Amino acid sequence: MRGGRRKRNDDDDENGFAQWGGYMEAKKAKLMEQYREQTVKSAEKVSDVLKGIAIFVNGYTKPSSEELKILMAEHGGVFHTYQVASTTHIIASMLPNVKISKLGNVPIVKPGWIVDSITLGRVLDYSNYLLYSNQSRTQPKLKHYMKSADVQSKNITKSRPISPDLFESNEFDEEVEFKLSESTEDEMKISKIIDSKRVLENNGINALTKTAYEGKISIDESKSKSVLENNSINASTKTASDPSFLAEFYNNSRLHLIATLGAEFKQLVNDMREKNTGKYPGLEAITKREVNNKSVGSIVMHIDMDCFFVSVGLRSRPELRGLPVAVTHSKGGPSRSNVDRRREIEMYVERLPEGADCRLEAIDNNSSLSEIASCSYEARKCGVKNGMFMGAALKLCPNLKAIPYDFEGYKQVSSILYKTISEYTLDIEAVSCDEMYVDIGNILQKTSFTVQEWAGHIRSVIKARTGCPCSTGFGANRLQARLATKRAKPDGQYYLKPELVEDYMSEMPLSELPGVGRATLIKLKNLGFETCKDIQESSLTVLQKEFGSKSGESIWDQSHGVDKKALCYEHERKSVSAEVNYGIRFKNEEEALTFLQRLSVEVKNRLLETGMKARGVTLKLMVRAENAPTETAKYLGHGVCDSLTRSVMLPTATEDSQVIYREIKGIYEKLKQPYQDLRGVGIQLTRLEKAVVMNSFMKSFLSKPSTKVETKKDVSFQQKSIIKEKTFKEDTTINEENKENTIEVKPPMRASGRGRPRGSKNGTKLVRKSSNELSNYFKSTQKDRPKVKQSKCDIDLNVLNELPEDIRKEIIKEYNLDKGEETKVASTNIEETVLNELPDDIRKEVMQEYKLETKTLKAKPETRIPEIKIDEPKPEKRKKDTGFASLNYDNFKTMLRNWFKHESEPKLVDVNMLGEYLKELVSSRKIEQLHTILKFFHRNISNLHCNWHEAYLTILKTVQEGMIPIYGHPLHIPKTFECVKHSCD
Amino acid sequence: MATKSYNSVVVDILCEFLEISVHNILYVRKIYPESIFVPKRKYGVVIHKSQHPLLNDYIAECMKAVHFHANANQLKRLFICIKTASKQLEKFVFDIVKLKSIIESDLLYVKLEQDFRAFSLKLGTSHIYLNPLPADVEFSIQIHTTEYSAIAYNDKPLCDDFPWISLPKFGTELKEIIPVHTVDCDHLLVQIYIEKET
Repeated sequence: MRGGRRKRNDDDDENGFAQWGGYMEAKKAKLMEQYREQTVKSAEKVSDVLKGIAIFVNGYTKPSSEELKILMAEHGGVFHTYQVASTTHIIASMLPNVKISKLGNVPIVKPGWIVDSITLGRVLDYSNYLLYSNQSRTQPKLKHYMKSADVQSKNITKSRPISPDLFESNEFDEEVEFKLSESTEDEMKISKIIDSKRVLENNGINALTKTAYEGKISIDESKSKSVLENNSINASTKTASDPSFLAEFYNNSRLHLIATLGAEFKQLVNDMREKNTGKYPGLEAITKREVNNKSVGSIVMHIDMDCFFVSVGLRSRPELRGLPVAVTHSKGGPSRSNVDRRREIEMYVERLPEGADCRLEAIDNNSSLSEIASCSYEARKCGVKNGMFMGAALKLCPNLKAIPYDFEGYKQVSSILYKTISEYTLDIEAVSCDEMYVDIGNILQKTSFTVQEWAGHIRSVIKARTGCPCSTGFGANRLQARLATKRAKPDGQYYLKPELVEDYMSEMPLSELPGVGRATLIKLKNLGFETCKDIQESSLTVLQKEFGSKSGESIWDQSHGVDKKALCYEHERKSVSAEVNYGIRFKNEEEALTFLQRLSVEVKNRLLETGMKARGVTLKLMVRAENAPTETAKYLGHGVCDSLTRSVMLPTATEDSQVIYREIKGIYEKLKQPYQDLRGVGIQLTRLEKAVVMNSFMKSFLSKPSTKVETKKDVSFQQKSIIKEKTFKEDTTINEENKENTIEVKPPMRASGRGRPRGSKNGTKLVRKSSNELSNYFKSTQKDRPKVKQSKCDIDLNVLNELPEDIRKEIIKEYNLDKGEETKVASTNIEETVLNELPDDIRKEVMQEYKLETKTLKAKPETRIPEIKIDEPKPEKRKKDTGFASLNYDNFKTMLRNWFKHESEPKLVDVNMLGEYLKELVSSRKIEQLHTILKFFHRNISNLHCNWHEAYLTILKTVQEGMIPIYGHPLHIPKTFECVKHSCD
Repeated sequence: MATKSYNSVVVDILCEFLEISVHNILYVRKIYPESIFVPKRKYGVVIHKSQHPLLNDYIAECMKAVHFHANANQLKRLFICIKTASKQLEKFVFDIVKLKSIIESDLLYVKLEQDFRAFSLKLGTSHIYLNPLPADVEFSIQIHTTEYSAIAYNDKPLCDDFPWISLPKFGTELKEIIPVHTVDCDHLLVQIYIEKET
């Protein structure tokens, strides 16, 4: 059939059938016509049992094809002489494998199904009659079949999988049939379909584009969703817009597991080395009394578990041992047929460098695109490889057994493995969860084992403890050990003796070398290099010319079995990232942003685990390539993509997800990519720094004399504790500028508060408030603030949302209360009061927590002025504006000017705060800016009271303290004032 | 190598900038008579270049070393020291904070050129913070690099007639820093400031 279809394009112009859609089309139509004309007419209609079923008989059956044809006609079914798109079932008694794979997804049913259905007078569940059980894995069970006999025929038409080999027309067929069954026409006339197919083509296209944008659910699924609720894939696969998507994604992502496990074990090795007491129980057990002083030198062992995922999986499935087994996600759901796979594969191929083989070539339109993470040696014998797609693998090895991932199991086995090795030595370089290098020189010396004896020992221990086989390779360096493992596999050991290295290496294909990837391999191939021997016979300069001096040399060294890198035991994290490129289909901009926020939190959590802070924030986007189909071949996969990467540097290291999100959002908005084309999103944190114990700001916070404020007696203890908690929460969330307003619950239409108007209406109040001006900027913690009556209450909705349920309720209750009483302040200062009343240690603890989140100083200058946000504040917006760091020079100047203007004398806190900030500027090497600010400062206060001069000098002192360690000298800055009193100099 | 690696392009740009800056500083600080300088156009602004062969030789030799160390990414700082026989007066510091080899943006060096231009202009106004120099003033170029790189350079035959000597650790005389400009772009982070005697 397919042949026929393709031919149409080539030949039909000449044979005159073009106007009927090609020869084969015409023939099929004619045959169907004949069937209706002759068979149906001649046969006496007995029942409508088989209405909606269209069969195609393939090969020898009993009853024979002719008999079935008559049966179909008698019972309202349709008989196809050729398999066409509308064929619902294929009837066969036996089929060779070749034919099955050609037939696509149409269920292949034994003829008994027709006969039995007719006998019983209703359509039976065909799944019991399926010819090939493995076919059933790609087949959803249609439960509703049994539920209601009335809708039977409808269901069949709608939900039957359609043959996927005719991409385009499929959609149109589906569209047409859907409409027909909607209107429940009595007789489904094939000719009608063919006619209306053309009429409806436009509709079909519209529907296609519309639904394709809505994404997620492929067209046939979405259309039949109402009827087909039990599609297992649909039910369990989420897209990124789902709140629990991230958790689910990471629970199911093997790459994530591999990566995090690898990192975890590297960390574990670090920790163990730190805590090591020099005792190795395992080693002691096998150490011989007479110590052999002959030094063995360094021998590197490479341990690699044999097809790790499989062997772990087999621990609980002993019955599968010895069978070809693969670990994959494939659940065997129905393949989505509206997807333009061929197009996508072509694009992949286009993008491959010349000469690369494409693993997609073996993929046809209906095989599973689930990747095989690991497969057993039995499967490898059939040619199945790791990373292959399940569909392709099944062709090579039809009885391949697929088992699911067992993430817990992997974790267990890995930690047993690492613990076992650590009983002997800690000279471990962790590579991944199932692979590591170990320097065993020391062990061999102490135990006077030979390499082979040791290998036997450790392998048997590992096997006994984990139940999984492993292979070990030994060599003088990492490379040799690793390559030796190749020979050792499966379940063996091999020692690559120094004298054999050259020979062993010369047989090694270049692809086996670490660091030689696809691109390098192709380059090498083009240069005529296939094995290490070719390289050995060539010269270093040739390689260096092609690959650059460094990588050229490394390839050269490697092909001689030389690896200059020593084992690296201590591992330092260089970056932390979270990336998702599966299931990314956003319906609107908001979803995309929410997802970014969630991802920020995720990446922050990982950062916390490492105990580091990050300065670099990178956003990676995968965007659907131009011309790539909107619906990817792999269900919710990323398809052909262009990647975009942008990063920003933060002035200070952070571990705050809000700060991360703010930056990410900024980048995201700059990139201006359409949300619907996003296919992958990743956030990476780089430039990790060890988190400092206490930042300078907090020091000033703590050192500041704490002035007592009387507590309002009417505040009950409970209230206090709530407030304390709230303050705490508030502090840990980002916005600081309304710290003083924390508890002043205010209706949204407030006119003052966070954005108090300056120099306007409020006459008398203004003066007093303005003395707080800078405090507000600087997130003042001063206590002697005048009690401004706040008539309205300001609840920050963000804060509110982030509070635990019970506290939130309490506050809402309070809010109502306060609203009723109109002028209730008391709470204003309670946060500090509470803080002050706390025992010292607890207060410190609170501060400690507090400090965690306030790495960057937060202030909020611009938004203070008239542009008060009256509507619900959007979290990201507000956060963006906080912090000195976000101030540009002009804003900074405005802020200072206001400070000078409104405060008669500077407050110590403010001065300290500004000093610390300016000191920060020094450490970030922004001395020009600093210079300008200080000059501005000096210029503006020259005529002011000497208090200001002192403040200036205090700030200057702090700044110069910062200058010396970095620049060796203080900054050149005017220091004198022409004051009237000359009291300061 | 036939094609220059990316890094070496940036190194070349940096060295050219440093060389121009040396000339310009000499002109701005009036260490040599104005007549030996000719105006040229660079980075879109007027700069002054010495025409004196001996002076130019000295600068060129210095730049060879600068180039060598920068290429090895071992050039930490470049100083242009102005002093009298007895006293250090001022020191122009080019602090090469980072020199990147891999960059993703500013492929046409637009930002870089703007930064260089900004410096060239700011240099002209920097004298407001400085005192006029006495007549018997002299200058020298100093490099701050790693010991290894210094040895490696001195081992090269090409520097036989222009050897570099190592100086004792920087003096701790009371000095002040006048920031001039920071070239901060993807390729380079060079901070330029003046150390001045108080």
